[in-house]
Amino acid sequence: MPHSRLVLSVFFLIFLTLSGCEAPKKPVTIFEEQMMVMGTIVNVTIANEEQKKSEKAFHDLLTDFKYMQAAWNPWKKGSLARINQLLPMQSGFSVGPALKDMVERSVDLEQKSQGLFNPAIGKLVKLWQFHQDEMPAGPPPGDEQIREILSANPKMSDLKLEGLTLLSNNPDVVLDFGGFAKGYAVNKAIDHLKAIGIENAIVNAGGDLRAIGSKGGAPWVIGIRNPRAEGVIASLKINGDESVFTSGDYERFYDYQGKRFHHILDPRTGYPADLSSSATVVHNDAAVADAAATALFVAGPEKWEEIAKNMGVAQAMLIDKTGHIFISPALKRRISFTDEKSLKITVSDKLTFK
Amino acid sequence: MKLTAPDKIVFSLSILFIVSLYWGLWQASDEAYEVEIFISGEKNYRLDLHENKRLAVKGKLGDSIIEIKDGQARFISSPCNTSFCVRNGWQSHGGDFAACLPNAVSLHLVGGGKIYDAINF
Repeated sequence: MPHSRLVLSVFFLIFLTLSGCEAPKKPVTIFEEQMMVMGTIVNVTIANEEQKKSEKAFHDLLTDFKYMQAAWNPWKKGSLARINQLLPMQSGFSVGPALKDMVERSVDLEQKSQGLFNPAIGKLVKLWQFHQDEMPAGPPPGDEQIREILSANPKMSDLKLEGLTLLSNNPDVVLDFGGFAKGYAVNKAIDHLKAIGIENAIVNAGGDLRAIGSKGGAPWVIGIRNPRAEGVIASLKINGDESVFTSGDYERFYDYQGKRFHHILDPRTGYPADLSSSATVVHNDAAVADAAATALFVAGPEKWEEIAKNMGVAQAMLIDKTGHIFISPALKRRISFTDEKSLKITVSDKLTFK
Repeated sequence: MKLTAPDKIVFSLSILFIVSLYWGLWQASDEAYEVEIFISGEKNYRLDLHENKRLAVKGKLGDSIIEIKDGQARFISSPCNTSFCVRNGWQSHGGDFAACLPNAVSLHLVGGGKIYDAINF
């Protein structure tokens, strides 16, 4: 009998083990759709909502993004293009509440970034022809043309806002919110989803995203693409409400006579910033994450910590031209690198927040 | 109670049985089985990842060439000047994503256990 008792015990153990592995009673339902707006692909992911509600939310966002695309394009007929047309008058004119807010926030972010994020350099963007959807073929603009724009020193603090009246003290200010509009739009999209009761979602605008809630209680898992090789370089779990934005030299560029010219311009030199491959920022505000990713990219390895601190960014990662990774302690603690041993990583000892 | 040789055999087999059941039943495969191809945000193709083929997908600028082979998909070429989509290489897991933004063509892998819910770049 001891044998049969042991066999029974073992099968009882199997029963207990398998019964403990019960499949989840309610599987997570995921709604995923995408749209082509603001010159990029926007993916919307919604977890655990009724299909009809998710579909309606998606169409609401599509309408909203299309509106923002038209209103915030600096070069085609719309609200921002109208502002750019009126700014050289150097007398006051009216602006709508949304653009007023964008101007106010940009003034603040430009000051905190020490001018490395500067949406007032629209003239320079246009000179380089990065204002159009299609990449230019070259040649790049001449030194003299670049110096002429830089000598006028266009900056956000040249603008004065009184209520809904805007005026510029500098006729060379041309607004281009390219390093900020995507983040601002993603914020608006998430605000809308929250307002209609959707609490678990990701809005991913061309690789820059904000995630809220979770996937049936499990965190959202975000892969960060390797700027120089296939696949992802790291992953990050988000459970709550956070944005992940990356600026990289691989996104938009052209080659001319063997030299690469990318779209992130250094407002100090007038040329594409050449110290970084990519800059990634994690922040609860997508607009701040967007502007900070641009500013840190321009800042490069020597200055990124100072700029991040000024902009209130505790979680950031910069990859320089050689692939050397510089990362803040707060981000290093939670990020998982795919192959950490093969990477050169320096954890900042300056970027600490109390 | 002292275990005899038959007891040990039964016990070992049972443990192996439990482990094999766990791997067989509860470990979801993360390999995708279909690829969805979008043009300007509209889903245009949904294809089996195990039917090997190459196809030309007409986007905003011209044809993106996409290859499907042995459960994977990738961009072979695209009329953009960055070639970021091509450098992303093979995609094989559920949720994997690659896009040629200038040409407004993207591919999404469907099925299997998703590794990533979104890709940041």
